[in-house]
Amino acid sequence: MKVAMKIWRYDAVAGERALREYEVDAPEEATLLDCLDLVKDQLDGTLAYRKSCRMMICGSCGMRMDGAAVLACKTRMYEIAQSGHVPVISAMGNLPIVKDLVVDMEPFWRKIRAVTPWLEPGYSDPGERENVVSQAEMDVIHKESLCIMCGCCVSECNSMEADPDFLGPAALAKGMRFVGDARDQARVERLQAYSEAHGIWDCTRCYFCQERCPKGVDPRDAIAKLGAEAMREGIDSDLGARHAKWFVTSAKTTGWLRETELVPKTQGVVKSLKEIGFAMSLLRHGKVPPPIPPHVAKHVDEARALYDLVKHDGREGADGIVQIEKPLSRLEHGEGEDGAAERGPYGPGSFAKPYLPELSDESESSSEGRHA
Amino acid sequence: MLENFGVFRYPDRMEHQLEVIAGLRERYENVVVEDKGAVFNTDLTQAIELGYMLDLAWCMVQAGLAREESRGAHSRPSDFPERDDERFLRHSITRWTDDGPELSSEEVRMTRWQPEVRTY
Repeated sequence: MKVAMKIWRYDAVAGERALREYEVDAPEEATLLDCLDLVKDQLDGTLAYRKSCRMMICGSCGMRMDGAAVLACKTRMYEIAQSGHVPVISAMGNLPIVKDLVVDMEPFWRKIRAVTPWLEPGYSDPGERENVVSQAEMDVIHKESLCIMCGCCVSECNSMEADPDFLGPAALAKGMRFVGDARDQARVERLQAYSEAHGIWDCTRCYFCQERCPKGVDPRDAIAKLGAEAMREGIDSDLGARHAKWFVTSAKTTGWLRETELVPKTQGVVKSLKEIGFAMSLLRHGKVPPPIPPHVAKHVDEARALYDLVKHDGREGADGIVQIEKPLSRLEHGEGEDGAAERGPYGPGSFAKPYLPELSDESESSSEGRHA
Repeated sequence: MLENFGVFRYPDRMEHQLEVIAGLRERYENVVVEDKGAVFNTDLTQAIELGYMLDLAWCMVQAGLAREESRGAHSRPSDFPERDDERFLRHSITRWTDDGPELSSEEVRMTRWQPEVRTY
C-alpha cells in the first residue's frame, strides 16, 4: 500500500524547520515506524528518529502524529492510508527538539530522578532469603509498573506547558509505583516531597496523559492516588490539597460547593479579603448563590451517605480512586473471544471497583440515612 | 542471515550465506553516508554498525559450519542431529585477522551442570 505522510524536519544547527512530504510503498501490516524506516532507507537518509525494540517495550519511538503523542511502533498505518489522510508527524512536545523527531530526554530523566525512583526497603542487608511479595500486593501498583518511560504523557501534559518545572505524569506515576509498594519504607517522606510546589497538586486534571499513554499506565489516576494517600497522612498544606478538602467538606455538609467559603478556606482570610470586590461582582451577576442563608441541596442525605460509605468501606487513600476504564479497553485485543471484552486485562480484583450500590448488599445496610 | 543461518542450519545454506556475506562486504566498501550532519546522525551510526554486523556474520557462519553437531540453538537436523561432546564440548573462539576471522576453540570449564538432552 502507498503511505503518504508529512514530517516536520528540524535542523538544530541551522535552527530551520520544514514540513516535508514523503510517500512509501509499505506492506499492509506496516506501522508508522516501519514507514519511517522505509523513508530513511529509500528516500532520505538524513531523517532522524529514535527506535530500538519495534514492539512497544523499549519506549524509544515516542513522537506525535497529527498532534497527538503515539509510539510509532504501535501505530498501524493501514486505515490511515486507506482513508487518504496524510498524517503530520512531529517530535514530542514539552521537550527540546534535537533533530527532526528526536527530543532531548534530559528534562524527563531529571524529573524521574527527582522522585527517588528506587525502592527504599529500610534495610541495607537483604539477608539470605528472598523477600516474597504477594500478587495482591503487587496488583496495587500494576498499572504504574507498566510504564516504559517513552515520554508520551509528558509530551501531552498541559500543566507542564505552563510550568516546565512541574514533575509531570511520568515521574509522579513512578512515584506512585513506590508509594504503593508494600516493601517501601519511605512512603511518608515521598508523599511529603511529591506534595511540594511543582508536585501532585499542580496537575490540572486534563487527563491528556491518561488518554494518550500507549501502555495504560493511567498517570492521572496515579496522581489522584498520591493526592489521596497524602491526605490520609495529613499532608495537606498545599493550596490544591486544601481546595480538594474543602470540596469534600462542602459536599458533605450542604450537598453543594459553597464558593464564598471556598476561597478563604483554600487561600486564607487575608488573601480572600482582596477578592471581595470580585466576589460581589459575581454575586451581582448571579454567578454565585448568596452565602446567607446557606444553600442546602434537597438530597444532601445522599451526599452524606456517599461520604459515609467510602469511610465504611475503608476506601480512603488510593483505594478510593475510581479509575477510568478507557485506557484498559484499548489494551484488549481478543474481542471475538467469549467474554473477552468484559474480562479485565490484569485479572479479577486487580483494581478498586467503582461504587455500584445495586450490586452490593453489604453497602446497602452500611449507609444509614441514604434512603431518608 | 535470517533465512540461511537461523536455529536450523543446513550445510548448503551456510555455504551460500558465506557467499552472500562476501558480496555484501564488497558492497560495503562503497557505503554512502547521506547525512553529513554532526547532530544525532543515525545514518552514520547505522553505517558503522552495519560494518561490524558483517564482520560478526562472517565469524558466526564460519563457526557454525565447523561445529558439526547440534547443540542448543545451533541445530543441524540434516547432517549432524546429535550433540557431540567428544569433539565439540568446547567454546568457539574467533580472532579477527587481516584475512578475516580465524577460528579456534577453548576448553569448557564444567562446574555444577552437565550437558543434557532436552526431553520436553
